[in-house]
Amino acid sequence: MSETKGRATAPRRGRLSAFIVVAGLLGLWQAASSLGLTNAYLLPSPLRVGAAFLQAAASGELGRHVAASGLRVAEGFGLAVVLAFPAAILAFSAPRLSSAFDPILTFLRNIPPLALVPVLILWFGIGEASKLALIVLASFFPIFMGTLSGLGSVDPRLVEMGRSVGFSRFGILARIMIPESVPSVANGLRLGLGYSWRALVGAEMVAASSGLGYWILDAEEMARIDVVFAGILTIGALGILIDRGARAASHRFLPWAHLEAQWYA
Amino acid sequence: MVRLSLAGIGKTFRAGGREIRALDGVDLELPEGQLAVVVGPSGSGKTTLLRIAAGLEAPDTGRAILREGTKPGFVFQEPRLLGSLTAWGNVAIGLGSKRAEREGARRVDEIVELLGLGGHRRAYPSELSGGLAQRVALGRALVRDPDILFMDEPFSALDAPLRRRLQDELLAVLASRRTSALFVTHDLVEALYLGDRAIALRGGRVVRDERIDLPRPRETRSPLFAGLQDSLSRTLGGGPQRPRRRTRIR
Repeated sequence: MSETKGRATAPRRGRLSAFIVVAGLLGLWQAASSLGLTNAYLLPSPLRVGAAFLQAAASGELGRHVAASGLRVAEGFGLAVVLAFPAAILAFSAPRLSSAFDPILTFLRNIPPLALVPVLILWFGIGEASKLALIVLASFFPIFMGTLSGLGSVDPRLVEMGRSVGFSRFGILARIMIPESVPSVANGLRLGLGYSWRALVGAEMVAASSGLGYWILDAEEMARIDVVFAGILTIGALGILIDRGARAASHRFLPWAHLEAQWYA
Repeated sequence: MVRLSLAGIGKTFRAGGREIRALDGVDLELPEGQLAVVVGPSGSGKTTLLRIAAGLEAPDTGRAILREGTKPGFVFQEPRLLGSLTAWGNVAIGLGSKRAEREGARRVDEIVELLGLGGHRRAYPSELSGGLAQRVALGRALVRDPDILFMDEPFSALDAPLRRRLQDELLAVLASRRTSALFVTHDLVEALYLGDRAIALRGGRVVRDERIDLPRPRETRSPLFAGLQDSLSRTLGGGPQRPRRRTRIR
């Protein structure tokens, strides 16, 4: 008999029930619209929303807005990762410095990024820079906090093991602390990505000439409620896609992190 | 040749406003190739002694000297494996650097095979049973080709048959390399089964230190073994020990 434990399989039933719930809600929504139970101006039918979506997709308008928003998120989120990850390592390695900055960081963390939009527009102008700054502000703290809490929760006995095999301080950080904190870092990255997406759409509603936020606001001004809903559903669907993609990537590149989650569960 | 020398080791811990004298003037010399087992009840100072000897903790008084050029290896009570590495990677990490791991890949393979981990080399710690995980931890210590091994109750969490199997593997490995070892346990049977020498610790002091001249392989049910076990138990303040039922080794 093998002494190796078996891996758990993905719950297919969960996916099936999720599909049934979504299909059921859409069906109910369509039925209510067809029976005239809803105001078509306030809540267009799913078929109308779907038609608006397909029309925008066919004309290339949807692709253009998704690409504009996606590019902003990629740039802003990438910049946030580059800033937050080393900042967290520095804060962890220098606890005194970290406590000195703690009140400022806590202050900034509690300001909703959207409240900073006017200031950011004043500082960076109405172009791309202010939107990037907003995304960075929105996603910096989840990544920073995830990394910091991951580093802080590494079992000190592993650090002692590292010393016992002769690792230097850098070796302990690179070979033990960082890899062991990956599940928490990944959580922070996932949260940060979600936050950056939300902040971006908000920013695009304030000042932009492309992107999903702009598309929704423009449709509202044109009284195209079906396009507004198509935009909202696109944002939600993209959020799901990004989250699933991030999860699939972490399964592919960090299989042990998921095995541990199952192990502790 | 003496590998490890401890002189006048003393250590006091402070907990809740109280001072606990963990070690009180312990002297010890460990020659090359000897497996010395430190035995004693909970709180007798065994683990503290091992940690000081291994350089993981500093004594309040006295000196712990490892002979120059001596390469130490450690096996802790828990496997302490890195979740992000496979069994093979966890053994390899014992080499101490990425470069050494690249150059020592063949050595890692040898150790993995030696400890019967060949079929599990790609398994992550969360996929390993307790026995396999502890074997990986032993491999991580052995891959360094240590001159002295420090072991803190490494088999205490394992069931009896598996513990005996790993004890036999350890004896074989140590004998083939003339590695010295300081092994801590609270289990008298384990102490007498493994040790070339038993060092009994009580209240932070060495109360007995003697060679174990029982022939190997040792039979735990033999009258000689039982007699020694009783005598050691009395030294440590326990009653006479009944011989344990022999456990079948699969």
